[in-house]
Amino acid sequence: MRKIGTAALVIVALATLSACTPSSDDEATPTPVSTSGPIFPSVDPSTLNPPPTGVVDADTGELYAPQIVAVWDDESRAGVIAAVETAMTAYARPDLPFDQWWAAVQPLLDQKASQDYAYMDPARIVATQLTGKGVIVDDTSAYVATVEVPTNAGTYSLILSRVDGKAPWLVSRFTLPEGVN
Amino acid sequence: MADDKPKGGILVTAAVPLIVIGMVFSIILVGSSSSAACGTVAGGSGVSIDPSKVPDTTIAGYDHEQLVNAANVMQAGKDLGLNVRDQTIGIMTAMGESSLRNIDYGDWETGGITNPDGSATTSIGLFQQQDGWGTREDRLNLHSTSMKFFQAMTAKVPERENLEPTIVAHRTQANADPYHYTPFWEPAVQIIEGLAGADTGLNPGSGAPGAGCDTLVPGQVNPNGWAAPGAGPITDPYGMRQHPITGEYKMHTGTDLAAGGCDGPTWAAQAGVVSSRGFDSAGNGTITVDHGGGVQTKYLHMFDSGMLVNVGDKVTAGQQIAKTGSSGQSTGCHLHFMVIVNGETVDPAAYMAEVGITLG
Repeated sequence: MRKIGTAALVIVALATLSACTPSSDDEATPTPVSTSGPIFPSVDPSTLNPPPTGVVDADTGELYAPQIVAVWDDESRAGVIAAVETAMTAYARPDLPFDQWWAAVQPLLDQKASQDYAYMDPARIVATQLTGKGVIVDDTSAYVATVEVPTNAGTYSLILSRVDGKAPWLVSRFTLPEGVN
Repeated sequence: MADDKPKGGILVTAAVPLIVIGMVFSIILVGSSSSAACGTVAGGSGVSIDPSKVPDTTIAGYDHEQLVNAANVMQAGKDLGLNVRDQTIGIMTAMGESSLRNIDYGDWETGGITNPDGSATTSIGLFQQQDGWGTREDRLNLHSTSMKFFQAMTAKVPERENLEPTIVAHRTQANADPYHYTPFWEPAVQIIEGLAGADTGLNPGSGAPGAGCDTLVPGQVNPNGWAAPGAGPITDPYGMRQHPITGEYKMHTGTDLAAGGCDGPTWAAQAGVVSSRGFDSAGNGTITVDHGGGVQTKYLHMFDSGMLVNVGDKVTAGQQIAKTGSSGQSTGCHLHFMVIVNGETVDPAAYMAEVGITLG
């Protein structure tokens, strides 16, 4: 349900945006289409000049090493569920003053969430207790998960991501139960 | 003028067939030249309509009474000298708080809702302001409750031009969810344009600071389902570099593209899920899209306000995901485009050639 809504919004936004420019001289011109979906070439990355391990990346200044590829195995699934339970337990503390609440929550957030949740008044949070296990509801990408978790105030939905297969899961969003603000 | 159908409504209606076609065939519209007028009003002075002259109509599902309330919000913003984006944030916030109705009873009266300290909630009016915001009369007066909201917004969020509208509203209201107001941005734009009878240049599809409608352009998708990440030319290819003096070797891990220069469009090379958005330790603004099949693409150097997607967003090939910027290790606006296959960074030009895209 959520998935569909998000995808539809993206498409609506795209369609609306493209319609935003004047229509007089730029009628929509469809490009050639394929009905079979995108083509992924089966290339061996070693034939496409990967950097030697240990060389300095000119842009990041860091030493290059191949990234640990993320996959959805049992460990990953258990890991994201555990991360959700840790995050929700830290988040669902309306009794705490902001500084104390933030000290526990912020390290569990990604960069943008760290900016966006920094103005929360924890007193407004309605949940105080988890009442069940988290359930992964979107695993389209092995780097991103949407997980629903039941609480005493209804079901929250969290979006988490990891930068590689061994990196910690960080929260980018807590979506509140329907009707709560 | 106010009888005119709101522009947003027309756009949405016109877009519907495109949505359907787009979903089935992945057709992407070819980008076009931008309107000189589009976007110029957004940062300019506010707009208004006499609340007593609001036509008896419905805009974006909001009826006459709600539109009159919106006109009062607009007027308060205008009286404070705020611009049309700020005014629209006011309408969006009132939608998220009261559905644009002047509710004269608190959640305590209807549902026994209490504050965390156990006291009765006293939120009333368009913005659901509690006792601390002013007298009951003031909070139920359409003009003064709107003035209170806007005064709080300008005091609490001086840097709001660089923030998403929902974040501005959240920092003003201190509500429970920073993203609560996002769905109300589009109808708020439709209402303000419908009532003012003017194109505001605000983008109903996205309130992101970088998302002025004249600058969001979809890329072109080829028959293999791939798109160039940005326009050419290539300003610096992928590969090893030797420092001319120190002799030190460094790796340029992507292909640099002009990508339209500052604020030019950066497009997702392929459909996928946004898996990260932020800045690395060298200050490079970076978006990563996971396409599945072991393939990821990375886009570097945009500024924060130029990142138009969030983690978890599903993007389509050719969707504009960012505005070209110059953050981090960059001496001028450009796109550093990277392709990662099974964890290995590879030459983007060589990879993209495999899918029929010539970079630059």
